[in-house]
Amino acid sequence: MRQKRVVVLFQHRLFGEAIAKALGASAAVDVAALPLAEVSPERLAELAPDAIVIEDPPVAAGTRRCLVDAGPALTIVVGPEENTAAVYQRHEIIGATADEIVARITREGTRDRRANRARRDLPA
Amino acid sequence: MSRLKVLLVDDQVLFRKGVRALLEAEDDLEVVSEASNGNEAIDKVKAFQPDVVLMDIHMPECDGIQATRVIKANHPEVKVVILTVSDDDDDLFEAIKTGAEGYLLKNLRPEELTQMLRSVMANEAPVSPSIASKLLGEFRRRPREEQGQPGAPELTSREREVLRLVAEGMSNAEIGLKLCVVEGTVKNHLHNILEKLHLQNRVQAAAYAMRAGIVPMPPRE
Repeated sequence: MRQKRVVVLFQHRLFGEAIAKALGASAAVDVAALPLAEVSPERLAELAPDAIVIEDPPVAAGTRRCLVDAGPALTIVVGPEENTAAVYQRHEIIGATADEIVARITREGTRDRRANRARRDLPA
Repeated sequence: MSRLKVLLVDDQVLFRKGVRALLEAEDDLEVVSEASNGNEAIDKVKAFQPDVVLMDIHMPECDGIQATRVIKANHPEVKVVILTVSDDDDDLFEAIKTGAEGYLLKNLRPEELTQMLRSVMANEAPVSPSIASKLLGEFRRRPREEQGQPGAPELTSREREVLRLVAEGMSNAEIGLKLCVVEGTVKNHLHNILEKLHLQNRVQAAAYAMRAGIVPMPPRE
């Protein structure tokens, strides 16, 4: 089974890098970390993640647009003060541990990159 | 070479595990234990005798400020560095008053964290740049009459010079270079300054220097 691509989007660098390090201990995922300030639809499209782990609090409108453009990537919101994580638009709450997050990501289907590309090419 | 023993205190388990992994990648750092609230931290300081505690502030049961107060009272030799997302003024000034040696925000790079952990053992004061700016701003706001308190202990001219350079953010090594003395001499001066002023660390010393007018306040923006 191929590794799932995960991008951690953070506001606080140490928080984001620590989460990436904790998740990256699993061989099931390949993790990159990116500051929210540098995120763009193009950058996310380039990374083509299967899942996005994003630092709470809720993101700015521009970032929300990026997440929509990222297509079917599973998005998990983790806060610096909470031991639970929310699965975006799925009404799911899971434990904010590396094991639970990786398990949730691997349970999700693999991202179809061609389908995403086709979706992005559709007129608005 | 003995490794620097670190106790990690944070209620967010994912972050704690990640920081542990980041620190354990360094040969000279050892995470001796973890705690998820202030009470556990107090117990674990006693049990594991770490060199440094990396302490979150907002935690259930007993927060990082209360825990720091107890740890510094019972184990003054243990360094406490606050590591938080909070840049709230109340948290910052309470943490300094309890004797925390440093105040870091979670927006620093992993390599900066490891560097700052090492520096605290050299009696330096790790403070995030935006926090240093808040400290300066706070003391700029204080009324002029608080400056130059009557009855303040006499510092020698050399001690005042060292204190001024501490307040400018220089490390002991940098001060040594500037004054053409060895680092050990700077440490001795700093020790005497802290004794005379009844202060616990160089953050408090820097704050005193500004309050007492030993260093000029930075210009208003």
